[in-house]
Amino acid sequence: MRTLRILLVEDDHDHVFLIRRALADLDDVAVAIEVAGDGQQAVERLARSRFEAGGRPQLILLDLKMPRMDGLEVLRHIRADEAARGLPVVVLTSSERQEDREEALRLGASWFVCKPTDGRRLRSELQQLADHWARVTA
Amino acid sequence: MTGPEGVVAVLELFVTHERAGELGRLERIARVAEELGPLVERRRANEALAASREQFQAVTEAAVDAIVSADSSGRLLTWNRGAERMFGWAAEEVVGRPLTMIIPERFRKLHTDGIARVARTGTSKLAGQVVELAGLRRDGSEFPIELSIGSWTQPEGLAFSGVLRDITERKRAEAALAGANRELERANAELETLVYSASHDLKSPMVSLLGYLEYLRLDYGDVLGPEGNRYLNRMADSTVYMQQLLHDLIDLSRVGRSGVEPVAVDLDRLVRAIAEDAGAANPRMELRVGRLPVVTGDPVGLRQLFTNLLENAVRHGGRPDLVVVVDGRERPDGGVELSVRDNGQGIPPEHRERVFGVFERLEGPSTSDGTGMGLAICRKIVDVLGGAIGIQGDRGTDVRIILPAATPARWPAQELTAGVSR
Repeated sequence: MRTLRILLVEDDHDHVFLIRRALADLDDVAVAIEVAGDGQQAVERLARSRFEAGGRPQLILLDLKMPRMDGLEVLRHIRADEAARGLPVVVLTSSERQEDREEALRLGASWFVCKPTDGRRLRSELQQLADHWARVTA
Repeated sequence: MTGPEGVVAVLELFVTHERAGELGRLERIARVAEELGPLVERRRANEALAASREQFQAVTEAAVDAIVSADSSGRLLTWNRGAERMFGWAAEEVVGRPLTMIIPERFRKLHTDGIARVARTGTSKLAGQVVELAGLRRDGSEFPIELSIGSWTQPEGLAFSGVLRDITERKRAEAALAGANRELERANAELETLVYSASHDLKSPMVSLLGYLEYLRLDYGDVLGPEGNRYLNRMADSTVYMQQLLHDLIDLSRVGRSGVEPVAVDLDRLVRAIAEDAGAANPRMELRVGRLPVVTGDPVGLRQLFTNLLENAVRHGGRPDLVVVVDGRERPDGGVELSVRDNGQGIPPEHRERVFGVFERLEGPSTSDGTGMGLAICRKIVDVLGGAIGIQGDRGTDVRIILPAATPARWPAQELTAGVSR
């Protein structure tokens, strides 16, 4: 089984737990999750990962509302960073604010996944994401 | 007898017989009459003038407002009692002196420039208008005035009359009202921001709660047994309901906050799309859409308005074969009247206003019947458009919405003769 390395950028511990739980039993793919507790940590982690062979995340799951640096700011950083620019970024959202979504798309978000209001739905969305990743990187 | 304007009086002379030797007498009489004519006329004019002056005097002296007049060089000609009271100068102290003495220093140049312009062009751009200015009292204090200016031509040139009203009280009331409004708006905005951010912050733990419930059921459902699972289901239902409440609170506080540019919204298309969804979910119900205009407004708000109203009808109609009609008509004042009516169980007249309150429901809480905020959101959406919404009807529920003429609307060119189509 292939392993998908994910950087989860999320400040809420419960959400981290639930997302880990939803990702634990995906079919055909194992995931290795690293967590950044806010935007600042995520940006620092990405800068460091440049020098770590094999350690670089292959997918970023990004919450929008966080202390210190919010998700939109992280997205801006990633798209401006030569090395990280190509990383797929999936925005985790419980926000119905159309402006947030539009802004995230404008800044180069690849996809949206709903916050785990419904475990099955989150799992199926993440499964689709993993399948897509498996296809494009096969 | 004639004057410059024609015949002014008729002089009648009677002679019993014509005496010989007085040739030219008639001509002499005619000459006298000719000279008398203008005299009679002038006398009459003087009398009329005196009466008019007296009338003017009486009116101006009785007036509460200050009434003054000035010549084209800005020198005061008249000064009534009102002016004496308002400015503190007696008429004999000011008549003949320049008008600038009642104008605050910083406005005097404007005034003298205006006078010069009038002297040059022969017309005044302020004549016939009402302007707000500041006046200067004898004691040096200033106060706001409203001034209306008239002008007329006299032998010496253009002259002006001014009626000045002390608007100190009005200004004070206006400022107090504006201040109170600002305070109210600020408090309202603060409250809405609070509701908005509180509901937003509550969403995150709600998401966790639902997530854990889900995994509790998945991972430990077997161990909990049927009664334990029933508790779990009740918890999940309540949490979902609470989440719905939060969504509605956010919707409610968002209406009017977003500052969306109003655009043309085709209500016909909008309502048909919503009716299609509602009809698909309730196959035995009949939803009719009549003649609806294109109005100018926030498309998200208008969609929510009709979604909530149709949802309410379907949810509270109380019969599976409910008929809901959405229709519109043009009001004589150019406004728009829209109606969403059904033949369901209706709302008793005593509750018709209450249902527009926040969290108001007639049937008491249950997870399937909504949060009781739908109509409160509707009212707010209509309020933002400057309109009104209310419930009427003897049978079923008839929700009427009136949008003001200021909400530009375009009606379909041809009236559909059937009025209603499926």
